[in-house]
Amino acid sequence: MKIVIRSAMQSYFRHYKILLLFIIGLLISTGLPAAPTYWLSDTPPSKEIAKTMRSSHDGLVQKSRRDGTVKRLWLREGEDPLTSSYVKESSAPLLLLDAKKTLQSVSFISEGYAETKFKMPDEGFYNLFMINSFVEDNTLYSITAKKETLNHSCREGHDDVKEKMPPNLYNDAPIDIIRERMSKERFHSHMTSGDLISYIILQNSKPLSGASITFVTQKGWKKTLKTDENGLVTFEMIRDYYPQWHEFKRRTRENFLVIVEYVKVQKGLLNGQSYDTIKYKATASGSYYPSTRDYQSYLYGLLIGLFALFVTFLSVYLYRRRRLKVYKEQRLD
Amino acid sequence: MIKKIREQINNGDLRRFRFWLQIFFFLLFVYGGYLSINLGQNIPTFACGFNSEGQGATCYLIPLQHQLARSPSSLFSMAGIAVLIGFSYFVLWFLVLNKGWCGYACPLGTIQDWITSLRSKMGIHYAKYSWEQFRHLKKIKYILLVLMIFIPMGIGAGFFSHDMTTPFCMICPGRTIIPMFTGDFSQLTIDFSSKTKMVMTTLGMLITGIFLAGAFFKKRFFCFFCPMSALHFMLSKLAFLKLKKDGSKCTKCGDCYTVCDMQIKEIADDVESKNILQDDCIMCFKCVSSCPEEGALKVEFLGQPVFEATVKGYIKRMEKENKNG
Amino acid sequence: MDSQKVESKQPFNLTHQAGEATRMLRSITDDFSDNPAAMNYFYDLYEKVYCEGMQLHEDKKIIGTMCVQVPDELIYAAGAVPVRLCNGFYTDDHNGADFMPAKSCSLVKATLGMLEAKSTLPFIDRIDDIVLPATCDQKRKSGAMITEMGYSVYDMEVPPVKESEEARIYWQRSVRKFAASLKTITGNKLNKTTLKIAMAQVAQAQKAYRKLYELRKVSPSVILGKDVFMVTNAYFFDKIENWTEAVNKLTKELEKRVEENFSAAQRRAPRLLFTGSPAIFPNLKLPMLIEESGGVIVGDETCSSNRMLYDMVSADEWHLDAMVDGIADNYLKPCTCPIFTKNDDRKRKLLQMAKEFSAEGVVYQAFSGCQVYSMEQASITKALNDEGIPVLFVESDYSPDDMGQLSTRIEAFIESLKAKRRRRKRK
Repeated sequence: MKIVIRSAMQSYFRHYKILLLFIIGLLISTGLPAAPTYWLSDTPPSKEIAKTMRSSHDGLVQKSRRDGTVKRLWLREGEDPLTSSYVKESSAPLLLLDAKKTLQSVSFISEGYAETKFKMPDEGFYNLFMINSFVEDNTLYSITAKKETLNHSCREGHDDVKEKMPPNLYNDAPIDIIRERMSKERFHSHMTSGDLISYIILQNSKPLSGASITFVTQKGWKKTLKTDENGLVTFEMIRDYYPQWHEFKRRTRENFLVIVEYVKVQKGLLNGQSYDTIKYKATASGSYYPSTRDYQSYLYGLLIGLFALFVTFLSVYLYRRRRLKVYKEQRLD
Repeated sequence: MIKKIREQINNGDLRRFRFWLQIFFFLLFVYGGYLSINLGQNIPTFACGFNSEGQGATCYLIPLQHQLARSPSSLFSMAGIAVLIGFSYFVLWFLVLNKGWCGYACPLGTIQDWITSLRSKMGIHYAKYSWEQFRHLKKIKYILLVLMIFIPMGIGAGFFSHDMTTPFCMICPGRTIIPMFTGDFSQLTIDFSSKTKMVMTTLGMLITGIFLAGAFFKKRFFCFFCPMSALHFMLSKLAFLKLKKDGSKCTKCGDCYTVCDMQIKEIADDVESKNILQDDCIMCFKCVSSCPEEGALKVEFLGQPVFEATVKGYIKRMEKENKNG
Repeated sequence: MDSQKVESKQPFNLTHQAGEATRMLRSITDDFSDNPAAMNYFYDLYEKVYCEGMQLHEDKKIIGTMCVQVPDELIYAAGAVPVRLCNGFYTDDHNGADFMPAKSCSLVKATLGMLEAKSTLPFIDRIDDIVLPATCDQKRKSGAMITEMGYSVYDMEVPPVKESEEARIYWQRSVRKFAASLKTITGNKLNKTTLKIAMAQVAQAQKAYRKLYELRKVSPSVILGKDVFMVTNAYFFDKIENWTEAVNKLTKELEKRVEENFSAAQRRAPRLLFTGSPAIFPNLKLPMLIEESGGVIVGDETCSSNRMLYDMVSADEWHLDAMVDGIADNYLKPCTCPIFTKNDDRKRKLLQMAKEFSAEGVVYQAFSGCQVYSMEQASITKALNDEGIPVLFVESDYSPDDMGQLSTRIEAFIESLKAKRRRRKRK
């Protein structure tokens, strides 16, 4: 199926042109035609939509009596979380791997933006895949966009957290980007600046080595690495949140983007069109928060605690000495 | 046969029994999580929930404050029934041991008892409140209980910032001290991310410092101010474990008052009441073990006497303590 | 064993007091059959001390005490021995009357008479320091008189009200001051170890006494009241370890008696409690009269006996300050001495004892001149009567002149108790 793109930027003709130039530039720089980067995001496109949603452990969700907890994801295009645009319409197929590890089919709805909604009745991780492929110029372009969302409510208790932590795998994904869990990570854990985030890239359940993986922070800082023989790559989350001291909000949720690119020389046929190379592109997004080191101070804490301890000891000591003088308390010790 | 067992219990060394039972509960609540023990989140004692690694159960005050922090519309609707359900689980746990949770199970109480025995070994004299001071200090725990209920509701209603989260937990020394036992020192920080957080964490550290020094000089210092104690006392009439007194046998010798950690004078002076439990009492039962009058004080479980003051038991314990103490 | 410094003194065994002691001792041993064998220790003790002038406590300093509020543990801890000076001899009472007002308490007169003449107790020459709690009027004023006799008197401040916190703190300070002064008096400073040992010693004695106390509850009674008075009076001056050992032997013998269902008195003897002004050897005429008339004294509530030994001390932490405060509390709060403002504790104690000892009646003795006991009498009697326990109020003193009148009254009382029992049985 062809992806029908009716970008909002059609009206902004100039921007379209710039975007085109940008893509051409990219093509020139890589030497090969490249596909646009699509990724799934849970950040609402407008403040009005955000207002109708409630915050939960992993981003905003919609809560209603009838449907329970509903996650809304939007399709975005671009390689920079700050400037990526929201796609207006899409009819690409979507697959949901829910917390019970069953696959369901969902689709995009268009309510001004290309959006998908799904209910999250169970505790655990939900993975949404958008998988599409098309042939152009003898090249098969395989696009995968993935979003992993956690559904958790403290009301459900914390009994099975350990069992539900490991990531759920979808073996038929052309490229599956799997974020390795950090040690002792639980439902309430957040990724923060300074954390080491590791990914394992799998292709048909086998580790993919030699793939190029680019990590993009909220403000557009990029780093590109290659996966090793185990398909593993590790990034250190940098800090790129520098507000004024009094405007610092420790719950600032920022997005990061992971883009995997891989080229395979293989001949094949898709819908009657032949191709001799396959270009894989897969994206995944996640969120991070400011590190606690930015706003929590051990030094002050310990100083204040020791101060209180010392003052109390001193006052008790002085009080006991004073009582000896005033009333001539008889001390036998 | 039962008589023999009763006699054995009545002659028993309460201090040693209490020492080991306290260690058991401490290990259960502070390290139980490592063995995947989870007794739920309605426990009537300070099994601190901030000790995420090792907690074997969670102190009820955390879920209580979280639940009360919902918006008034959801709190007073059918969803508010969750609060009542949680509360009834709490009551069920509480009914079993009454305030014995304080004297035997509370990890914070156990820590204070350890600090007290450290001081005793150093030969430093303990502090006592005068009766006047006592009367005023008693009221603090009720004030804290009221604040603990109304501030979260205020958060839900929008009067207070969400940064106050669980207001009592921010000032509770359990939050800072108990996680230290599993190697988690992160609660000792001052959080500068917002003014509210700064104030609350500063208060928390100040109170931790005061707690440690206070517990050093005064036996069970924090228990005078504990809102959990106030909550317990309101339910104590229903509980299964009771402390009873037979006033006609009491000679008012004051031995029970001498050993009482909480300086409760009613235990010695009140010869009329049958149920002698006071709001400060932690049910450590040191009074029962140091009473030389047969049957004057007794511990009852569901109406059956479990541990009574006996002359023989008293003499045995006093002789042992004189030798060892 | 021989007489004291000759000068103006007679040989000990020829004094009036020795004669009085001997006479009473004979009555005690001979007027009754089947005295427990273990009592011989006590009979011999009295004989040796009061009749032959045997010395005791030769290795230690002796501190004289008056009144039951003085904490013995502290004196033992300071390396001295407390000897209770409260005297029961008519001879000394007679001597004391020379310089005391006519309407005075016989006990105080006798004690002062003894201290003036330096007689009666063989080791009175070695007593220079006396601890005197300011309890009743007459004890309080005797302090000045005793000082003029040449003794060194330590006035211990006792609060007149014992319920308030101020009183408790006052008394604690008073005891602490006393504990500190013991250094000047004895030369030894108190420390944790000596106090612990002293507390253990006194606790052992109290433990032995408790066993005896519990055995007296048995019906039929295994020991007569006159013997128990002898035992507790011996605590005034005997060496504490010996006393404890002797009491333990006595209780062992009494336990055997219980097994044999032995009755020390007649099987139908009415069980009585004795309370009020203390019966001190040799002024045991009232208990003797009661038991000779067919009653048996199963329990007593007097400061020469039960009140002295009953309440045991607890301590939470073994530091000197904590221990001394604990001792202080224990000597004040349960004290049922009538010098305190309220009667409630004494009432409750008597009611509880009446229940536990299955007592049928109470004999309440007050010395003539004793205002406090006489004034408490009305409310105590009412409280006991309300529970159906008759009370016989007897006003007496040390002189032997009222024996006839007393024996009539006592016999009548005992008869009325027996009749009451018969009536109840018929119902």
